[in-house]
Amino acid sequence: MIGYSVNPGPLMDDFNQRAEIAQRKAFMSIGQGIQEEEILSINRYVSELLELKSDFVSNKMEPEANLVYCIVGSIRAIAFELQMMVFIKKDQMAAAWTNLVRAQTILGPVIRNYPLDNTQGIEGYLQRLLDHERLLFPPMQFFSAGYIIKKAMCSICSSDPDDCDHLKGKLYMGELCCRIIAEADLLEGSSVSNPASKLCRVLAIQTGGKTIDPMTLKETEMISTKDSEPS
Amino acid sequence: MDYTVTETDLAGSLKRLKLQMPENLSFLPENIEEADKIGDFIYPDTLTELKKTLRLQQVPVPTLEDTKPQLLGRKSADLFLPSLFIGVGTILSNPNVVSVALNIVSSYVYDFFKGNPGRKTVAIDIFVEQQGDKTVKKITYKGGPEGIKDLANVIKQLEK
Repeated sequence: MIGYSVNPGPLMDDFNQRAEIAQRKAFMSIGQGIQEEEILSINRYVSELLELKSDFVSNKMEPEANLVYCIVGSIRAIAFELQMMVFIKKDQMAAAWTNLVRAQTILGPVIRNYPLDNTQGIEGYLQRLLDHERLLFPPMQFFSAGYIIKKAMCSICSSDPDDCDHLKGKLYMGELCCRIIAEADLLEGSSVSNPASKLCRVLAIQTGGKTIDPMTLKETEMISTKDSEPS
Repeated sequence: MDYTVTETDLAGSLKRLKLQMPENLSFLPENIEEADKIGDFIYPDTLTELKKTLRLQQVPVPTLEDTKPQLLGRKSADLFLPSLFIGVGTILSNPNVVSVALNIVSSYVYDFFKGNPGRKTVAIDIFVEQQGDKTVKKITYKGGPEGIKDLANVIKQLEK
């Protein structure tokens, strides 16, 4: 815990308590209304945390601001997991999948930047989300793009990423450093089983004269880009 | 460890492009063997972060050309690293620099995959100039992140 100006203990204790309460509700048998209420409660907690982070940033307390980023990411992952369950109950499987992928994705930077010693708890939680993927959804096929980057910016300082010292995937004053690709030339698209984004998935397949959603096996409308093409 | 070693005519490729064989540890474009001109060079987009990571740890590794490199982004969960060139000069002037650089690359890979669920595959080509006849051998590695560190031993064996 070197580098903290204030003791992060109470902040962590509060987070642990709230996470425990939320996780008790993250089971399919729990009532939909109870899960929806918990999501709202988490959103309120996140707003409080973002205000706290803003104070830390104003006072240039980087370790504290980074810790809040990790707490926000962890608690939001639980909210996404709850939202996935709510959507499954509403028979909205695509939205359920999106929330599961968001929960998994948001944990990546948290685990990479977690400032305290033990990441076992978060890694165990990520495993739980992977188990959801295997148990609740069929294996899917994904897409991956290859492109030449023409113009990119660092999300922290807006410079060309080649010209600054910020590292993609690291936290700076409570913000995740990303590369913003402003311009690119698309080279190819591939069908892959291990994509960078599980949101780039096959939405419909045509078989036996029918168009099927591979996630639900229900008949669906063919998604065509033709209508959206400029004339 | 999942790697292959092949003979490569890097000298011929560089001559065709009117470039000199680098003297130090350098990054090579992934299409060095096929490119018709320097302007066609393409590096994987991980070049930016890896170059920065090495530079911040006092191991500056330049690219082959002075101009801004053209970067290829791949929306894949696999990690494609830029090719490394290890010249005889590097090995003779500072034998430790190769293992130091590979340790930094290995840490970068470990960090990249931390918190990334799913299969973890990393791909890298390493060109090693031979001490005697100055021919160049290419190590092509595609496998788990843990194998990167061990490439130092493969390089050492090639140098003999």
